[in-house]
Amino acid sequence: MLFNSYEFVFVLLPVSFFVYFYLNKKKIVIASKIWLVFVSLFFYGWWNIAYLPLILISISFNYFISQRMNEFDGAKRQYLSKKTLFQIGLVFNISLLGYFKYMDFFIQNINLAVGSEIPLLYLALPLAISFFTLQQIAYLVDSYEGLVKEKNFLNYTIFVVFFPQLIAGPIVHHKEMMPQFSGVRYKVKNYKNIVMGLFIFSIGLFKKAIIADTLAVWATNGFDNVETIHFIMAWFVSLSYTFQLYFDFSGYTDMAMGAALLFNIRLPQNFNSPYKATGMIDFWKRWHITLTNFITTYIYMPIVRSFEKLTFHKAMLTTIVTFLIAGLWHGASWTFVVFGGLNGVGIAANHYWKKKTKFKLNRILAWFLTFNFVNITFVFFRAREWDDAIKILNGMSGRSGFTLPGHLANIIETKLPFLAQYNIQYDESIHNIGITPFTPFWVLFVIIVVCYKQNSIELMDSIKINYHTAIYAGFLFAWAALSLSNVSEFLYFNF
Amino acid sequence: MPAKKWVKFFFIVFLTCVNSVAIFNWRIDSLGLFKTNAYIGKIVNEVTNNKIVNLFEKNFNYGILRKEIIQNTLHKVDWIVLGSSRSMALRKRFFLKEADTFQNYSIPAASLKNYMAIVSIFKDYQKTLPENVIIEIDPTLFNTLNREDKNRFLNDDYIRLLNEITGQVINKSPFNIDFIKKLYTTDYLFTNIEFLRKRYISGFEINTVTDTSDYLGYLIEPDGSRHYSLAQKKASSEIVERQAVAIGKFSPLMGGFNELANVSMFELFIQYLTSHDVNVIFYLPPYHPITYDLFLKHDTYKIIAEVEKYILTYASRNDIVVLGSYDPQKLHLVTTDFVDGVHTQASVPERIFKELKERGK
Repeated sequence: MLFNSYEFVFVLLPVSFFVYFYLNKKKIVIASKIWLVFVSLFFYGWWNIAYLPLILISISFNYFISQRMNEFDGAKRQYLSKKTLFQIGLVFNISLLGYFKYMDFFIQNINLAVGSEIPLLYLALPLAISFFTLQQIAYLVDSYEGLVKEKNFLNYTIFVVFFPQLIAGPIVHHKEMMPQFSGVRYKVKNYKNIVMGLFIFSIGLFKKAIIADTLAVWATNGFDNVETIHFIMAWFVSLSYTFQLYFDFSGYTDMAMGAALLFNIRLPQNFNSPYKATGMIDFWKRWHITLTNFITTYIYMPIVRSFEKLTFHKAMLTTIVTFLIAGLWHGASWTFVVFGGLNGVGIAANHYWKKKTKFKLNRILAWFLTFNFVNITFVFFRAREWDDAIKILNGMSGRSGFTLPGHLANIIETKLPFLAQYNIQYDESIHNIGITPFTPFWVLFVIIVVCYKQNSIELMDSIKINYHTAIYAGFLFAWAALSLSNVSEFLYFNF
Repeated sequence: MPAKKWVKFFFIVFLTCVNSVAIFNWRIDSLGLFKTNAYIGKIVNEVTNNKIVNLFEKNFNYGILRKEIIQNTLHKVDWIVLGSSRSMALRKRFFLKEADTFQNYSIPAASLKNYMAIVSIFKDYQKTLPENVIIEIDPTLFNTLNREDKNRFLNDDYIRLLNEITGQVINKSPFNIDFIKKLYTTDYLFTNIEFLRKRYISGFEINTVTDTSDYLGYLIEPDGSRHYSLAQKKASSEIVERQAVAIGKFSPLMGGFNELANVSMFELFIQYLTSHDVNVIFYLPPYHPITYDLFLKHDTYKIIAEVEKYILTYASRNDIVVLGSYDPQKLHLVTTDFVDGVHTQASVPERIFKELKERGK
């Protein structure tokens, strides 16, 4: 089920909210938790009920492994060591993800490398598998290190399947979630939280339904028709996607936070105005923060710790390797690996610059370089194939020619005749990807919003409970709800 | 302000906004989606009274218009056209005599479902099937991805015929949720605002009757065929070629279309018509030479050649006449025969259907 669907907004969310607090009011706490699990699994199964057993098996197996590991502290004798159990759990999770997400990619590359013809499996990617697997790996690691202990299967299930964060994060840790579910004050309706939840949910829905979906038209049309892309079109298309991705994913996260707040659960922040970043290190501290934290804690740090003597260059190499893995996590394609690699190199270069030079870049120049670098890496992130990415980049560099809308031909030829030497072409293809004279204003509007305005979390945290904010949020919610008939999936559902 | 009061006020604002939009959309209903409004009602009234109407707005719901024209046509209609915008210029006088009865029921971006819905409505009101059906075959008829969601307002009529053809019983929805959704949309809100702006601020008169086909705007004839605006009819070759290049490079309706879908349903539909002694004629509207060449070079769009091949084979097997071709070279067409890359001037169907006239059909 999509957050931006009538079914979720007007049926599942309010029904789950009222029943949850009704059960808590009647002091049937277990029933309220079972209800949350049921609603979450219903939410998940709405998409494709066939994947329900998969997530349930994953939850049960990880819970079983963590319980066995916990028993070591009770000094019980076991056939398998704690480390072996942990390794079994890790292999299980990685195999699950590897099988469903990377098997065809693996076969394709084998076929390419050795000229074999192993048939592809064409496996559909189970919804949210990347997220719930990552979350459970983190739990296993924390469990192995003795940082968490969960003895209640129902609580563990809620931790994994709680519907606001199930599909596309934020990636949460057991220790930041479960105290919230067990606290008594979390079991009664808290109108301050409801205000904040409705406020940020409305902003998120507006970001998705109005801003991201408008940008999506240009981005999708452009990336689906790269054969003929030229300079202006390529820039519009790449910028549209870069902004679409932000508004789409941060809109989703805002809705997740809003929905969770209705249940008195505060999810961690996932975005902090990433396009205001003035360096790649800064960018990844602001973009998909919970993923950055995950890869730092569970990939980067263990590699770094494995070195006997850590040098700056080894650390930078580890950063690049970590980002290559993070890139691959996003999708089974070499374009994602390139995306990860470019970001890793970007961060390493940023560290190198900070360490080796004393020169401080002008803030605006630093922002400009960072933003454009990110914009280029997102071309690889979005492109279906390597060739498509190269065609877009060629277009952005001007190597595919300069084509302007036909109605400008007379103006250019009479008023700016010197431009004739640059072999400017005229056709209407720019209109065919949906770009209108109105488009530059849209792009300008989103640049202003992302670069100069407070982000949704800042707005929520500083909310004043008065008529103005109620009108503002109510209006955003209404406008977004009136646009729900054109539903589209969230981009991160694919990862 | 207490937080509880904020929550109440939030929902009051929300409900006020969405219901105001719905009431506004219902009241203005510029495209005649919910009720026979002045807009569509006037077109239907004038067209069925043998008048040419100057269309105030070209992008209204043609599905509803066609349905109402069928419901308000009191005489028997022997010839009908099922097609998209590419066959809207096909007129009665091109190949029929004055005494013959003909209606062009083309709907822009029509799907196979729309074709079936029109036949269903026709049968419902005329109590019989038409004697002759000209079916325009646009390649995207076999692309379920891009056309399924358009003109959903005829869905119940489609289901009626589908049940008859397949012998299944698919229930119609008790109420049309699409209508309700459309009331609560900003899309329709903006369309209605634009309608009011044109009518009351720019002073346009809606759907006036005219006696000339050389009118500035779009026109609809009593036979249901449409005229392009004067600017499009007289567009320079340079402009037409630019548009032909643009559509050849990027055609939204052709996207994501690597194999023919809908084939079995298409064949069932044709079989249904022919088994009821309906004379079926296929019409393949030609593309602009530049667009056609670009399509054939395109990874996805080159499927048009496969569609034509399939239609020719199917027609020959079932003794169905095929007029026209996607390939403009076969018909010796040049830029001046086109309005853009995919739409021809009216002279093209006139030339193509001359063949039918000569056959004496």
